[in-house]
Amino acid sequence: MITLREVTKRYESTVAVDRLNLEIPPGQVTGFLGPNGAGKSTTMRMIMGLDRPSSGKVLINGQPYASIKNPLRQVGALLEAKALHPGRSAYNHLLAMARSNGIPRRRVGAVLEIVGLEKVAKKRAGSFSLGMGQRLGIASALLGDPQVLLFDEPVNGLDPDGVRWVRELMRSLAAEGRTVFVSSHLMSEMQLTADRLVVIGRGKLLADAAIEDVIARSSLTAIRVRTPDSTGLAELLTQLGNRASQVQRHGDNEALVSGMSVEQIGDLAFELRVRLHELRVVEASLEEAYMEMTAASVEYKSPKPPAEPAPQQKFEV
Amino acid sequence: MSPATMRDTARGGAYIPADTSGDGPGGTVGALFAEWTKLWSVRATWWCLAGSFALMGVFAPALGGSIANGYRDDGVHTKLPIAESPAMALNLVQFAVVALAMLVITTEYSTGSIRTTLQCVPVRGRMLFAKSVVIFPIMFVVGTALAALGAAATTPLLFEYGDTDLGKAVPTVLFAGVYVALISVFAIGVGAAVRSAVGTLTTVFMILAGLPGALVISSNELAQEISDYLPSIAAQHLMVGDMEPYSRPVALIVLLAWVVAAQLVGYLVLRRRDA
Repeated sequence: MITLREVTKRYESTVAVDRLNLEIPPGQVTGFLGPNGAGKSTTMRMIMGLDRPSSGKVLINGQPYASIKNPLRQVGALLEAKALHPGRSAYNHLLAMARSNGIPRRRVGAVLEIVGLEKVAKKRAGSFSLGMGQRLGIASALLGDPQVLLFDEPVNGLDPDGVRWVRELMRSLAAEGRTVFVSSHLMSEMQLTADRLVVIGRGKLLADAAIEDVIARSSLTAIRVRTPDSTGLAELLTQLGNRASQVQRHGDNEALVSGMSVEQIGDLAFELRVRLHELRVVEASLEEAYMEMTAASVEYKSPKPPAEPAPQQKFEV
Repeated sequence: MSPATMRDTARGGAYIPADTSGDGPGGTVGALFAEWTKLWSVRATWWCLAGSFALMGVFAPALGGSIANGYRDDGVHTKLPIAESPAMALNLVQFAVVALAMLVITTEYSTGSIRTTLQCVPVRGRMLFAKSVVIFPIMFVVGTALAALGAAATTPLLFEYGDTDLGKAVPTVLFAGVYVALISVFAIGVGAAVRSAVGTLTTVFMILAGLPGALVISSNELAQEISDYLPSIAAQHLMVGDMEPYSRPVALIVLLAWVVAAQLVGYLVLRRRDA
């Protein structure tokens, strides 16, 4: 469990993280999304005790990172793949980490095997490719067999095979009841990996919800209505116009309606005796939902804000 | 330069939970083990050590030889204690040692590995303590060995002008070890405060060589007196054991004050600034 309470990080002139409240539960993969400069890395660094919050509290299992004895055994993190001395071998890099937290030498071999680097363990880490560096970073996160894991862009530089492996690894870690907190720019990957999503923009929380809720609440999730009866469709849409949040007509026979359920539309069509050939939910992709959500924080950032900026939508469950 | 980066052909496997038998101590002792492992697993350590011994092997005999020659030319019948030229040579040789000590912390900032170190040992004071405590005994041995080697290499070049009294040589050699150990801990403190390698080396160089050089050539008496309390001058008094202007214990206190000050500043910067 990772807990953030009213966390603010202020630099001289900018506010990187603005009164963030979060609870990252165990047993799930929580995806962490936000545009560049949204404060994702700063947040992760504060969780790891690398940056000090200007105000507020960051706790891991109820404790600040710095007061955890042998922290690698409770929290593992991949923040930057290359946070290592390029001249040191992968094995010695992990060995020094293990020794610092009283982790037996045997575990170094085990994590190298998990990530598939056992053959290059004695090679200088500086000669590793981006993907191998990423694997070594994942190995260091797994070293202490921790209950809480943080990964900042873990699939960067990995081939499709590696991407899939990371996805399965995250899912299996969460299935064992561990807390897994992952940031990524790859929406399609998040949609496959994460159970929950935390979205921030300009240091503020935009969403903290199950992934299906984020998608369901997007205005881009709509009901597609198709009928051979174009006059009937016109009548149906007029009726719907009063109740649905958005109605878009595509040609004579099709329309997209959002803000109403399939049942409501089906019943209405039945009352109006409009024959339907199709009535189904067209889900927004996570990417579309995300773009829509973060558009507000981009708008807010623009030099000429509209007179009345649209209120930021906030999802909470 | 660096070899071509390897291609990632690795295939990851399934997760294996840890087998927790045979755990080590962790905590402060673990931090010491980790620093020891890190120190000996990079080439820079060996380069700096090799460099310091090579410098001493050349510089101490050269100094001793020229002093003995001077005595001969002037027809003076004084004798030079055999450990004194290595002590003087340390004025130069110390920079190879200081470089090694400061790299222990500045390399971590330049490579970004400080963030890994602080993930392992998040208590800033413990991290600084571990680095300093590991470097101290190693550098004591290195300093002692350097001075002993320097004395051994110098003796044959002193001819009849060499004072081989071990009662004088042994303390000088041992105090050389003490000085090298202390100045290394000093360098770690400066490194923690300054963070960049170039900045640290410049700062340490100014304090150890620049300032005393500037003060010694000044004719101002106050400047001369101040220079006696700079670490590299105090080190000469400590090693040689001349009673002027102060005794060995005072020299040791002067040096300790510098070390404590540097460590304190380093610690405060670590506490205040983000990693």
